[in-house]
Amino acid sequence: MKRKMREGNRYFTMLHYLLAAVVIFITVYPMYYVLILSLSEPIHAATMKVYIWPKGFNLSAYQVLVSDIKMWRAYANTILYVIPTTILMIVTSTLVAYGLNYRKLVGRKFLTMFLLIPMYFTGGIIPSFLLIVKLGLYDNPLSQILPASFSIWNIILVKAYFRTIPDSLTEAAKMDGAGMYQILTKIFVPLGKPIFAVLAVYTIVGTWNSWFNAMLYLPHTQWQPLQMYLRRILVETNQNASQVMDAAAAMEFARRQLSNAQLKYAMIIFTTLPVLCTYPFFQKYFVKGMVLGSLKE
Amino acid sequence: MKNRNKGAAISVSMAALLMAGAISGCGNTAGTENKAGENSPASATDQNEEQLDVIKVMGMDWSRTDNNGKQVYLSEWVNGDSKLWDRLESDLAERGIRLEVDLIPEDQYETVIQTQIASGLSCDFVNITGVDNKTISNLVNQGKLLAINEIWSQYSQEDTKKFYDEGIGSEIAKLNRMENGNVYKLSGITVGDYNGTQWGSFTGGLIRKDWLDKLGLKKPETTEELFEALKAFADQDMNGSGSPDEVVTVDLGSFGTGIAQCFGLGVQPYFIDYETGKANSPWYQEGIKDYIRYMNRLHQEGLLDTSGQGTEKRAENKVSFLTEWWVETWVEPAVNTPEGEAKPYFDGILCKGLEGVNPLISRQSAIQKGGNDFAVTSNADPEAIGRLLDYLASEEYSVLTEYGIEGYSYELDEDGKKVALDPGDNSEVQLITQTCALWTENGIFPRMEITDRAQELEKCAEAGLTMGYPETGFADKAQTIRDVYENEDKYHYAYLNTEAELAAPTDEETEQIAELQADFETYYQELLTKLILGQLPLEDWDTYIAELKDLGLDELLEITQNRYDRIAK
Repeated sequence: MKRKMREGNRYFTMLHYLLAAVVIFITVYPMYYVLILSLSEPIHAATMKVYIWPKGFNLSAYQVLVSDIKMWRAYANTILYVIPTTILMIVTSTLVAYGLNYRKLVGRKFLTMFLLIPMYFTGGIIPSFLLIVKLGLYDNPLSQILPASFSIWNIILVKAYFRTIPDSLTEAAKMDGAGMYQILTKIFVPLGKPIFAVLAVYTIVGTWNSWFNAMLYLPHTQWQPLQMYLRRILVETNQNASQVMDAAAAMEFARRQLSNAQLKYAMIIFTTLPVLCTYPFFQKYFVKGMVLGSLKE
Repeated sequence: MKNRNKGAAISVSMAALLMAGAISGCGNTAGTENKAGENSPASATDQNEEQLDVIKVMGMDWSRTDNNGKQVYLSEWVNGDSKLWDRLESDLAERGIRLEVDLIPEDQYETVIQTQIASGLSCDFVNITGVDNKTISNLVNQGKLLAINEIWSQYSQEDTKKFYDEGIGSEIAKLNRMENGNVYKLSGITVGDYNGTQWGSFTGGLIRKDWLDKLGLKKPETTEELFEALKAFADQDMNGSGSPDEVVTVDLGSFGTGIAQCFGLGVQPYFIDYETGKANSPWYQEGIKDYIRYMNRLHQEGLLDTSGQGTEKRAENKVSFLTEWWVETWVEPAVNTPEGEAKPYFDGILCKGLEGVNPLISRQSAIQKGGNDFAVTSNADPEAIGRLLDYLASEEYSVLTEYGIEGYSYELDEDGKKVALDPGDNSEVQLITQTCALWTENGIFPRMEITDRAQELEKCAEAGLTMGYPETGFADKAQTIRDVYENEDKYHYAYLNTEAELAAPTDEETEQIAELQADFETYYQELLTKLILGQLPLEDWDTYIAELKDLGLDELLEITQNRYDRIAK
């Protein structure tokens, strides 16, 4: 007799748990693998034959990172970019969305379309680069903040959210003599906190992980963010191995190669840890952000 | 309460704007940490800095690791307390030049140079390593690069003209000469000297000599003997891992495996024959099928690494045969051998693969063009660049770059040979005694390297002393190479890097290469790998050759021949 697979069925639940366990393993293990590689002895890390526990215990890669002033500078730069970008993103998205939600706005549909087109069709790297150069932002840390301070997608999210705020509230405020500015600051902003949280999470994570703009617009290390530093460690080739070395130099070269491999793993842990720690607290806002676009009045 | 929220919102916005403003203010000086010259402590010369001509130089912030494991960057020399950099500056100041250096991180350089070319180069002298021929040709046509040969002809001293027109520099200048007859690139130069004879270095296969010795086997002289030795390594479990995992790690999609040369094959898919000067392709050579069959046999026996994890296999002591510079001493220390056991001993090997076909040694040219290129932009003052060329072509520059300062990093022995001093804890002396100054190679100026091959062999032999061979060192490894130096006629050769032997392509050739090369190379690499792994049958050989021809093999050969002929003439 066939037993139906339905909710409440023990086997069905077990299957669910099993699938969830597999998904968790697939998601978590790569990160765990990087962690145990970063903690193993360099010679074992180089063979990559470390699967469950660290082989040996070595923190030299972390010591190198912690003592590197350039790493801390990059860390500070990232924080410097994350804070103003997040605040400006919320400010610009709110102002534009509020304006576009105003029903009597002349050319509202045109403006919305005008914003939507570049969301789907961007100008490309070279025009953007030329624009940044013309604006005097090349080799300037503002190149990391200003272009990232507004997003049409985020404007649409905020606009959709504002649309869920009942018109009756706005009408009531108007009858009490509130102007446009007061309606924004006393009704929309206080009620918009959930969507601001969503924007904040998106922007913080986006800015934290961003490196490509720095690659294009910041040719010197002084103002580069953490992800550029990480990238450098991952891709940099340090020594020309085609040169003949004496024994000591060759030994040093080999040691350097080994610890470099491990440095990559330590750096990955080091850079992702802050975002990983904040994720659980922001997760509910992520979910909210995903479903916002589907809301209808 | 609401007012407080409003106030908070305003203050947060203000904070954001202030922070942005603060960063913006700092932005005016962004990048200056790597820009030196204006405020640098100057030159050890009395000449007034204002009288010096400024040359703006852009290059990579090249780095190497010193003996303490610290990564040292050129920007640290430029902005810090470096005697070597100070000497470079003072030498240039004597020629009326002051440098303004813009150093870009190495990993970012390709992006920066491409974007700067797109928006207009602002420097005078620039590292253009990695910029493709088509882009260079466009820059020349747009008048953005100056002809360097015209500069040295008009503004440089007689010795410099001689260096570039007739001397060592001319060998490289002719390779860089473009269709219009001018030279727009300066490249690094390596001149090898073995007891008075010019010699390049070699690459090829290296076998585990220590394992051969343990098994009492002599060094293989034929590919059949090589096969038996490799099989014995695996069967006898030479690394003691408990399984037959001793393997050959070579790039299966390339002809530069060292084993291919045993069958007389060229190193590149289209190459110039060292002896006849004729363009050819391994695909047309007699030994190609035998090579593929041989490699397939290794694969069938489990003796060929197909994981693509050569570095890991090396570290795990599983590599029985690899391709490298014959004089290398850097592979061995990275191998994880049991405590107390000696490190591996890799020795260069050349086997005969086919009756009537000479095995080939891949050799550099005696005067080898380096991999880094530098150009002069139209912003530059040609007269000042002429003086810079005087310096770059001088022995003074070469000695400073390769050996440093007498009494500081080297001294002269009784024979007048430069001998490196013990660097102690001095980081920059450690670096220069390892190889050369940080401003060359990928840095800001071309390298002018003169390598003493005899001394190189001594170093190679000595390296083994501390790797578990305290009595002999790597004497046999050095002897394998010495035998070639001293018996040139006994061996046959292939150019290690065909591209470095060819004239700069014309615009038309550049177009053709750009059109054909990528598809052709992808196809031939895949084809070669699949044939070796037995995923494609050799019976369909004619179809493969037809496809290679369709993809432009013959056109690429013709271009190679024409470029070589222009040099030969």
